[in-house]
Amino acid sequence: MSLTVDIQLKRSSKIYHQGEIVSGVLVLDSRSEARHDGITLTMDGIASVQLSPRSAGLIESLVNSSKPISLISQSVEVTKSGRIPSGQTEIPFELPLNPRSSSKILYETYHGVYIMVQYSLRCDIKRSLLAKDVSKSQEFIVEYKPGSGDSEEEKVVNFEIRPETLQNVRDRARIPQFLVRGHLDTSIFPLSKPLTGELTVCECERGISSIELQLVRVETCGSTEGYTREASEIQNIQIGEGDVCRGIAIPIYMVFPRLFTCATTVAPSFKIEFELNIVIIFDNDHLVVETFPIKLIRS
Amino acid sequence: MDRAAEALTPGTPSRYPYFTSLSLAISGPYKPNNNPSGRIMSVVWKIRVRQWGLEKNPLIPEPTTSHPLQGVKDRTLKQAGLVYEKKSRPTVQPMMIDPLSSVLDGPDPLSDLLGASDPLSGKAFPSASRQAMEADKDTEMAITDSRHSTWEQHRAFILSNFTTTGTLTFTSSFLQPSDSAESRAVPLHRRVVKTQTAVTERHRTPGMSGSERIRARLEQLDTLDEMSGGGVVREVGGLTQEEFTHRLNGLKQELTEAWQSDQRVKALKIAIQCVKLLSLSVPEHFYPSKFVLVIDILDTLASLVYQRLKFKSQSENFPVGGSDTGKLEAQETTRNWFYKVASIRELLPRLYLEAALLPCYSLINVQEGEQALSRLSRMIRGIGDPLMAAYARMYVCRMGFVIAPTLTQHISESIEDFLHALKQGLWPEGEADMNMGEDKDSLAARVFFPPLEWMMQCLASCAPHHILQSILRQCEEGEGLGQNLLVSSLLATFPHHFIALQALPLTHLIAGCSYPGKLQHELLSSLGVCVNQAAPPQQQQLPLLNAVWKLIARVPNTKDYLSTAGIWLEFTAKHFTSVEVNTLLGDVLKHVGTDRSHDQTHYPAMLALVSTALTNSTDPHSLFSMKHFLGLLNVFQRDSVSAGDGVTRGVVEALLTHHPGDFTDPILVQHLLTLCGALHDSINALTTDDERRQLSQLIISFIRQVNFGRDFEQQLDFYVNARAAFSNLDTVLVSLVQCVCRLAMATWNVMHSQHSGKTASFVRACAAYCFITVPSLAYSTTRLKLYLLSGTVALINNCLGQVEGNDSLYGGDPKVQQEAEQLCTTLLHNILLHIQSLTGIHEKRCGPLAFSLFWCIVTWCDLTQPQMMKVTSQIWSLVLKHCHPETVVQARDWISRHSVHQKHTSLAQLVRHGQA
Repeated sequence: MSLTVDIQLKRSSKIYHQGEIVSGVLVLDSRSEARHDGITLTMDGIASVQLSPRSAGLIESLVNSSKPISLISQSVEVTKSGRIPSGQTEIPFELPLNPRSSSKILYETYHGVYIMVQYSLRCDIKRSLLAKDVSKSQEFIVEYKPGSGDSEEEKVVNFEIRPETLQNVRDRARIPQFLVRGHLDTSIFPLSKPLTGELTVCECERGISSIELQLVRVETCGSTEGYTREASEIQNIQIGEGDVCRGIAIPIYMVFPRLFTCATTVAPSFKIEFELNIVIIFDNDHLVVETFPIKLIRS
Repeated sequence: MDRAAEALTPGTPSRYPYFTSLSLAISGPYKPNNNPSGRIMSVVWKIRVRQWGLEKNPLIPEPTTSHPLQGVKDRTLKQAGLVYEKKSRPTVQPMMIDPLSSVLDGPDPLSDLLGASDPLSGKAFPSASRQAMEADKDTEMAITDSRHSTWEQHRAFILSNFTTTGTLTFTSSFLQPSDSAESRAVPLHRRVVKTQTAVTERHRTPGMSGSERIRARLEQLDTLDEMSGGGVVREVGGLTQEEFTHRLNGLKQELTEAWQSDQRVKALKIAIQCVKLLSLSVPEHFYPSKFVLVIDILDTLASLVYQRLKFKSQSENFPVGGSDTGKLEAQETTRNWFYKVASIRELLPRLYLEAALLPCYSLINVQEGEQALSRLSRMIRGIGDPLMAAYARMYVCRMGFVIAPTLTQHISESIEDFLHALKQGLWPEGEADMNMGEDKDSLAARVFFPPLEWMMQCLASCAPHHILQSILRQCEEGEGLGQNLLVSSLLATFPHHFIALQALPLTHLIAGCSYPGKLQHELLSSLGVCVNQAAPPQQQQLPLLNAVWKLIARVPNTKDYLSTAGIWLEFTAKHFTSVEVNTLLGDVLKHVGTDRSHDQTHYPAMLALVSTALTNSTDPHSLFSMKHFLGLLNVFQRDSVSAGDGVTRGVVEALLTHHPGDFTDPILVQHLLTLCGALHDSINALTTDDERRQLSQLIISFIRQVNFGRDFEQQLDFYVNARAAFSNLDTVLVSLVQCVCRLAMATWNVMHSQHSGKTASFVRACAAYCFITVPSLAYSTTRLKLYLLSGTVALINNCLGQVEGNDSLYGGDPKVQQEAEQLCTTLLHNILLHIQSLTGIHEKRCGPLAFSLFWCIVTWCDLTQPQMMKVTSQIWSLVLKHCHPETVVQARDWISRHSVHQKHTSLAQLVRHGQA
């Protein structure tokens, strides 16, 4: 008397955009004919925000966190109570991907440390009291439509790192004399393209042991009581190894990871932003970090 | 020899019917009809008088275009042709060429095999994918210039040239526990085993709380680059080079196994860890070999990935969507591979792996691959250590050549970066690991050369002229080691015609190119090799030679001097007259003369000079009259010790091969006679037969080439001297006798067969020469033939005394006759007995045997004699009994046809009778 259900989406990538129709088939598999009290298919989208225990305090974080925001929730009855024939049954479905109210937008799928935006389809088969209900969920991914979002002009970001440009220095005397110049090709990066730029170590009196690119996400959770801002590393890429040549332009190049990133998102109660750190590590393990806020978009 | 004999006796009937009458004893059983008992029959042998002139069936020579054996070793010949560019000469080829040894002009087939790669060395490879990879390689490595080495050659060169006796450290999480030092009984003082946890602490965002850090670490563990294969990284120190190599090969094996058991991530991790070994540049003199070993592993992985993706994209085993789905799926997988590789944290592994996977771009988008290629070559700028960067460049260039052989932009950029890195200083003072006293500069020159050479080679094979020009400009602007390396690799890899055009500026560059790096004479040699292949413009040749020779004359070491001089001598000989060649040789003699104590060691080099001058000279004839050339020959004669080492032989060969026409100059002949005499004297008990044969051949060709024209006396004098000099070589003596016979006949011709008193005594002297020489030969057959020949010659020249001497010695002696007759009888007896004994399965052999015997008798015996006819008829009956009817019919036809004009009616009758 076993009964299983599987949700198969038409797109193997499982990526959908707002306004599109999510289509696929429910695959019911039963060894023998089975009775049921109705099959429903539910599309859910939630954004859950958890306050960081460090900045907001442990208790507050527990109290305030468990309030997921529902972005989309709609349910359709696939069939009324009846019988499922033995063998495999495929039931095609189509559901429009639209937010609850037309003013809202569907944020991109994102799995972070404190913020999570998740979309899923759930199929429930209600059974009589004697048998267990069967349910199955399937996550799908929502991305912004390419080209959506405000089109700011792309501008080269030039930078220059010198001992004088550094902040938060405890003992300025211990910093070696150095000059690093470079640029990022833009501050707005499409997620499908790599992050690019160039960097030149013009001079440096100490040896350098490594130059690294650090991609950091900044999650800001807001509430009436205030907000917390947390930064965490997503990816670290070394672009310079050893005491690199002076006066030669080293390419800055990083492919954005597919997990842990999404388009930069600013919502009323949370923000997902990204930063790029350029880390220069000297041969005495001291390091210098320069941070650039970057905006990620879909294009 | 036979030909010579025939030429001297045209159409003369044989005068020596040695055997006139014989008696034959034949036992019975084989001819049952006539002699039933075993009674011995006596036969009188009667030999037919042959009319050779009539019977001779002249062979018509047919011109041929190809040597029957040449097809086998065509390649070798072509290569040898580069060295010995033989000019076609109008004269007849003077040397008697042994078809076998001429075919093997190049290296012998065994050393050919050495050049090929060992088919067993790649045994760890699954055969199918290896085949596929090799198929790919055909298209990949299509470097056209013969000077350019393939990756295999380059690899072998590096492995054999960069070794270490020091100890090495191996770091990997895939080392077996049994691999640790304790189990290998490594001496305690060499044991270094460290275990470290997987995550490096240094890279963390400042200001993280403890729990965050843990989370970050867990995330890092998921990424590929951390050494989390077995969780624990083992570091084994104190390894010798073999142990190190063994471990790497072990990892290669493990990688392949992991892949085959579908553990692709593990395979990738192994490859990453291996590349990480390259981020340690010490010891520098081993780094190139380490690089090559790691590249092997990388190549293994790359081909596995590529094969799999390719297979995926070609397979049509998808239930939905048709063949396109497979392609899309494969593209998605390919992208995943690139995503994985792009997330590797450390620069070196990321770079190498992406480069290794470059061919996979062909499944997505070729252009994207080309972009990635130029990005990768720029990313290498991030590698601080110039050595590590140089080898990474070599790898990227190699992969670049695979995916886009026509792209050169990235190569010239790489070369520029390479030079820039060298300018910044090699490695910090005192850090370089010295290798057995090798100083830092020469070590640097050695380790940096292979990558640059490879890059230049890739560039040279496809870049347009102006790019090459820009490299030359960089040479001019360069300094120190970088300039030196660039110039030397340019000379080694760029097209000859380009170098020939730029020869003069290059010479100035070489003049200003200071040590460290390749020495000046090495650079000059490479330049010389190039201009020998492609000539510089006419008006530049003299200034070039002057500029170059000024530098050569200053080369301090005689050996270096000679090798460089030899190469430029070729250039001089090709483009200038003998006068210039003579001048250069004079300079050479001056150099060698000052260094007399080491004379002998330079003989091979000087031999090469002689050979070069002769081979390439536009006018070899005038060369032989040049003072310094003869002076050079004199050097070899000073002592005969050199005879054994092949130098003298080489000189003689070179002289014989390249001298135009016959030797007429008595001085030169004397030189050669001395040299050949030394060769002859070098023969001892240890000399092999083959060597003797070759030497004889050489000397014979020399003797045949000597020609004093109408001065017959001098010619005979020469033969007399030659006989004295070459008394140990029978074949030479044979040849001498033939030559003297020819001389006698030539005299006869000149005098129109009417000798004067003077010439008569001359030909008698010739005959005397022969009769004195012949008895010292070892082989009786040869002796006999030569007696025949010289006897004939003597007869024609009316030296009757000599002729009779010969006749009485053989033909006329009744003892000899009797002996021969007996022998014949016994022989016939034995053959018949043998035929009789052939029974059972051997019976079929009776036919051919009887048939041959029959032909012998028919051919040689006088069948008009009833006795002989009787023997013949008996054997014919044997033929009839045992032979195939078809053979019998054929024989019968032939006999009937020929008996008509030979008047053998009895034989024809016999044959017909047999039929009836």
